Amino acid sequence: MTTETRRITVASPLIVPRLAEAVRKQTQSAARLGLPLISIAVFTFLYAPIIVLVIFSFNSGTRLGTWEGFSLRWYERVFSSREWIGSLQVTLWIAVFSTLISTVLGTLAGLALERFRFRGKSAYDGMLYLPVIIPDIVMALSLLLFFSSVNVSLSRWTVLIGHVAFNTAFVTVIIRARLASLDPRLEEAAADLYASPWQAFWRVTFPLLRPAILAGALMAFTMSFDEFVITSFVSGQGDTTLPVKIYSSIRFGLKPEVTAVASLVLLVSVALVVVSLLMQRGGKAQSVRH
Amino acid sequence: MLPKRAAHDYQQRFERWAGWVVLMSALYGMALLVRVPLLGQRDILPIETGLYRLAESLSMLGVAALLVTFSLADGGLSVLLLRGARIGYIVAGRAWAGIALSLLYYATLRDFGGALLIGAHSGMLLALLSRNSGVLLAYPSLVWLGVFFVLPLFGVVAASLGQTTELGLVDLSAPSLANYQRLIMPVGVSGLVYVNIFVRTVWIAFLTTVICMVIGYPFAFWIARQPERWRNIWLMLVMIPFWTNLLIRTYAWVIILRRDGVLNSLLIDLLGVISRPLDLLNTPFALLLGLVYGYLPFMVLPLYQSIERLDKRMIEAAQDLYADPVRTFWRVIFPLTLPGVVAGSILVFIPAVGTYVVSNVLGGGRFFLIGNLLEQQFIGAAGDKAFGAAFGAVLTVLMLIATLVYFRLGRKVSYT
Amino acid sequence: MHYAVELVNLTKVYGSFRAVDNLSLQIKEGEFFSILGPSGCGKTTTLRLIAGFETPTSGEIYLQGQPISGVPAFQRPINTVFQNYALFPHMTVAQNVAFGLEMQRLPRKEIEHRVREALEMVRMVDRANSRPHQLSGGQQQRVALARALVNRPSVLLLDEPLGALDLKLRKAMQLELKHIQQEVGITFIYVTHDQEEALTMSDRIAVMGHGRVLQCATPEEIYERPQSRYVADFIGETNFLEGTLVSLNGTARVQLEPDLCIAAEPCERELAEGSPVTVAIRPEKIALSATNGNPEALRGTIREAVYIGTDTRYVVRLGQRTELVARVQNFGTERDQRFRRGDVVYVTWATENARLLVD
Repeated sequence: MTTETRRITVASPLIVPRLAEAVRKQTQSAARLGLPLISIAVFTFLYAPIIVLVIFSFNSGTRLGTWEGFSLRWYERVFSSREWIGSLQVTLWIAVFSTLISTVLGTLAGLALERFRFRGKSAYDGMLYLPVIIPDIVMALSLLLFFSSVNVSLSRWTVLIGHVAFNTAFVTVIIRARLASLDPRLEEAAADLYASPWQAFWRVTFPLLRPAILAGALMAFTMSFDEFVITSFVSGQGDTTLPVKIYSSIRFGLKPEVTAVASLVLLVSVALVVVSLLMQRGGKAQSVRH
Repeated sequence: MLPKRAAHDYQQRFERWAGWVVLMSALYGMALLVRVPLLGQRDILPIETGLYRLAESLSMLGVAALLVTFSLADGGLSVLLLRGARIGYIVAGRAWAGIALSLLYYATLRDFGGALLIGAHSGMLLALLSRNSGVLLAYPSLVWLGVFFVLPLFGVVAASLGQTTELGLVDLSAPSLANYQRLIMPVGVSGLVYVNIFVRTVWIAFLTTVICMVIGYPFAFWIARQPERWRNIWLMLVMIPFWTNLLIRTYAWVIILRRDGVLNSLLIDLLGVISRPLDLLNTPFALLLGLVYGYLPFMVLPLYQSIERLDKRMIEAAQDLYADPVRTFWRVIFPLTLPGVVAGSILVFIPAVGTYVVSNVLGGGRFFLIGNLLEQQFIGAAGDKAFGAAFGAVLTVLMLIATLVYFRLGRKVSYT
Repeated sequence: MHYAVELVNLTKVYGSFRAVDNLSLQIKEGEFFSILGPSGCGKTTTLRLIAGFETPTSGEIYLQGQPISGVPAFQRPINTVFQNYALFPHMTVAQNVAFGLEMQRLPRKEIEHRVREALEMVRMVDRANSRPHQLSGGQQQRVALARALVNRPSVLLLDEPLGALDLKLRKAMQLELKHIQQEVGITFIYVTHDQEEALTMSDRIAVMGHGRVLQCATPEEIYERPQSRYVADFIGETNFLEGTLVSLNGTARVQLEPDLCIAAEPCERELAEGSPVTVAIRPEKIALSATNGNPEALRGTIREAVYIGTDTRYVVRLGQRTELVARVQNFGTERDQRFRRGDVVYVTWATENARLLVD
């Protein structure tokens, strides 16, 4: 059997016309050269604008496109501006509380979905998946309509409610992925060794889940920190977050310090994402090792 | 040998928890009583006649009386439950009555927060009665997403049947399909303005998806073939834009594409290729560029996952069976990675349909998409919320149908 | 005197699938009891019901005479050695072993003492501070055993604990497990699909199939006197010869072919002459000889001869279509002593080794 296959493989260039052979060689070399070229182009495409943005945040001139020398003046202006610092505080307030609430809700939801059976589970699963599918603008306008119809005035609280709703969905995804890779027998083993469900959770499940919970929390924080669409729909007056303020600065009279604020926001989210990704990977490595 | 009493206690834990829940509800029931008169003061509905005022205060009194009754009953119930009485039916009755009370409370006092508190608390009792820890764990997120996500989605459909009042609220007293009619036959303008917006948006989102796929596929393929150490670094470099602010990333292009932007000054001053600056911003090119730039990582990640999962022996087997690289790709690799293609397309298409940031920032408002229209109706001064709701409802339904169809396709082609 | 564990009409249904079907068993104090069966026969579900990870659909489980099906797993004085050990990856070996004692809130001094004792028993004291992923499979297995035994349970459940080990280690661990069981005197309930493992270690074996117990007896009894074709087929290799019962006085005579009639040990069931029966004969109970010395011997032809080290395995054709597998131990080294394909042989067996089965 094996020898026969080998013979045919060797014979194939004779069977297949020469043209095909030429095509094969060409496409192979195209793949060898083309793929790295495309990849370099894509990375440049993804990162060049960001790098340009950060560089020009140190530009001393007011014109956006021409470099007029290095200066920290825009950063100084941002840090001395009450408005920017004020909206930073609002942003942080919303991000911190939405992270706390959605991490708890998402962890509980992940546990319910991965470890228990109950009626209506698939509908519940679908509901948790929906915020990932529905365009954020639809979520934003539906919340706005809802709050106005139940006489709840818009404030940072309404933004918080909206952020928790979509963050919970994302945290649940991360928690579930981790739980699915955890052997459910570990929890049974804890029960077998006289741990009540409560003790089993805190002594076994939680320590093993901790990297995912932290990663989920960081993701939630990042998303909340960056969120623009829902916030701009349901935030009250005086409760503008950084992204909303950046947007209005871009659209209505460009303030030169926007580049500096944007660079700072970018920096914070990149740092958070990197830490969160490293954590998720670390958690995975640990479970694979076992 | 066996800890007999402990076992008995364990089986009663749901009752004990229910006892605490009922006890808390007895306490805040009293607290709500303090709120009732305050709420009456700030009622926003104009009170026209004395009769109406009388009826209102009577109904308020009624609700207050109900609250007192509930609190007292809850106090008794909690004592019984904490002593371990098996009174499941009574607790279930109490729970449903609590949900009814929350509706009544909202109807008379229009106090959403208080009603939610009563309702959610009673729902908690039902969750406890299911004696299933899974239900208990699912309950908080179920309430949060149910009330603040699913309910508002249905609210959009309801609002789309009403009319926008001068105060900017939606009046539902005479439901009609007028808004949907307006979608197809706009008032005051000729032609299918709104349908055109729809078609244009879907077309642009579709183009974005296709371009992302064409760029993203070879890119994902390349990452999947890298040695593992490097692969993780490349992946992280793709993930970072995935999670960072779209608005800021889009704004970065403004700096590059403006008339006095980086690209123009590069081309004129440094390279001398052109003498007059190019108008790049506010063109279809800029819009598509921004969309592709924004959503490319959403395509690459799922594509990468399915390419990485692909069994390398499949490619070898195809080559062994005389397939040249082109046919190996179309007949073996591509069909096996279709689930990734499907997931990536959904992740790009859906936000692209809903965008208004990119079209506003890079399109300069020249490209009026669904997102722009919705923003105008809801945030802008001349907003017509009811009409916007109709638009949003159609968008949502189309998205859901598209997703379901796509997922069906995805499942059909998923062999793993 | 109560049984250590008694299962009465135990049933577990998943949807429409009856994983455990009206099962009753009595397991004695201090016994090494094996539940043997192919995968999907319900043996693991039975174990999980005893441990308390599943609740029975109906029936009752008694532990030393007390019903326990309402007691949650963490309150049952039963411990389990899991299939893949389920050692907590974030704890050291010592922490793993101490876990159960800590949950029972024993004083710290006693915990330390007992953990050390348990680790000594499985010879893992020097690895007390290692993490599970730093240990080999055999070492993880020992830790899992220590973690369960340190609690001094009244019953120890073992769910294919040797399944992940290689053959040599498995053999060594079988003996060690048996040794430890005799030392601590705890009732072991051992679930396995490996018949040899069950035969080696057990005091008694229950063979399961389709959620029921098909036979429950000592290893010798199960091997020598299987009560059904399923049991005979599952344990060891067996020839099944189908025929009709022709006479039944003292020994049974079964007609296999018009010209082929064999003798067999009758079974306890009352059978009428002319009813269809199966005769089961173990291959190693069959003697082959080149000369016809016994009037009872049947004439056959060698169809196939395979040398397998200790034995030679022959396929012998009797009559027109009956084929039979025989295993003959290789005494000498000379090739000539063995039969070859096409040789004529005379086949005999002791009548009590040919068992009549009715299914």
